[in-house]
Amino acid sequence: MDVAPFISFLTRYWPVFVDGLQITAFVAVLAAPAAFIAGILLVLPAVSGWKGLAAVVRGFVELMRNTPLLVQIYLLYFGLPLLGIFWGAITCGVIAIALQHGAFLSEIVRAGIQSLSVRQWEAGQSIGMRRFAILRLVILPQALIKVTPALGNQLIVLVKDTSLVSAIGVMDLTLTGKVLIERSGMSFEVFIAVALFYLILTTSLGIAARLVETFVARRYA
Amino acid sequence: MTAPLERGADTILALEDIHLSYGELHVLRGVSLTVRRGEVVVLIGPSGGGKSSLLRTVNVLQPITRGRILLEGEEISAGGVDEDTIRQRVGMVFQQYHLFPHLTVLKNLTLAPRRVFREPAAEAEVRARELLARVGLSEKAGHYPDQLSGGQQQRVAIARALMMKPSVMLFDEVTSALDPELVGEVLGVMKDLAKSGMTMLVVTHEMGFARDVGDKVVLMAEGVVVEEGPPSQVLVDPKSERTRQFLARTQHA
Repeated sequence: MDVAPFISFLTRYWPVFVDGLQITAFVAVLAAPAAFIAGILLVLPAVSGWKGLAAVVRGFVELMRNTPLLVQIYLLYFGLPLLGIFWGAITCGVIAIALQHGAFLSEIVRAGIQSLSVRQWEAGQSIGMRRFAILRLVILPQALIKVTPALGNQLIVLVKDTSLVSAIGVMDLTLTGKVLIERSGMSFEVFIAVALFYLILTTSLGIAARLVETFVARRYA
Repeated sequence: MTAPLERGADTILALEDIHLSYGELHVLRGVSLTVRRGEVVVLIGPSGGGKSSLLRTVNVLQPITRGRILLEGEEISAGGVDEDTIRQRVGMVFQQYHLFPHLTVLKNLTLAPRRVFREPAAEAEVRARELLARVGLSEKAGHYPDQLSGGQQQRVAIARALMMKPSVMLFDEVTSALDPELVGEVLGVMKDLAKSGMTMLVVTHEMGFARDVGDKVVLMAEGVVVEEGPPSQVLVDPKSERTRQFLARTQHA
């Protein structure tokens, strides 16, 4: 492929790509913190010893982990209206991504918590701290530090998974690409460009995650 | 079976006929013990004799199977007591320090008082720095636990427990994990603490500490108290054959 036509193609459609990139980033920026919060909430019942709730959450996490994200997005977008609930495409996409990634994150965080010595709990108890305070101030921070690399990894997967919202008509990078193919007929160039934009997004996040990791490792290793 | 209970204001801790079983394993088989205010009681004896288990029951980390534990006259072994509130009054120091590795030394000290007593940060910090000075670690306030030696970490752990202003301090083989040259600095802090009038229940293999600092030495083996009395008697002229055996073995080591 000659580079010059690609460059001229890219400059011509640049604003369109930027619009798509903004939507993708918007979905990711909403979904990532929501997934993180969901991940923490989903891990609480198991480590707090709330047996009944823990079993329910366990089932929910399995359900989320073991069904395709695209199916979950369809289920919210096309299923909820049958119950009289009409949510926008972005809302449905963000919620589905947050729930599935929350399920995966909760497993990661749980592994981090379980890797800590039970003596850390006892140390907190022995100075009179309540269980929830120990969890929040002693256990969770250490667990999150331990699983920082896995969290960074999961964040990158999440950004890529946002492309699935294109299936319900959200004008993100991926759908922008599909539309541009119809407009320009340059299918190869379009998806090289789309891939490049994703690459920029994920690579910068990857570098940021690596920096956080190094900082954390140096500080708390 | 049960020692007569002293209900005087002087008694900080009274253990009455404590039994503890893990399934088939009968770890404590009727231990009775009294600790008076300002007294240093040293628990010695062979490993597996139930010394550490006994400390864990006093800190309600381990529920007992039978018997009663009274802390300042209040029964703490019954169901329905608030274990967290009890633990605030009972300081505990562990063999492996168990500092919080993600927090600085200063934060390790101030975390619980700020959380539990809602103590303002500035006040907690002042007290923390005083205690760090007392254990000789003023300059380490901003360090993380892994930047300290074992002896320094253990002294931080002692200061952390003291932050809660406990009525009694429990020490569970706190020098056993230390290099021999670091044992002295930790024992020194404990001696100072004893001199300041702190009530202490100490499990240790340091016979020198038992002899010099202990007001009472208790030999435990196979889950029972074999012998108790002043160090000059128990360590020098033991009545029981079991004590004599144990002392002979430790002197060989």
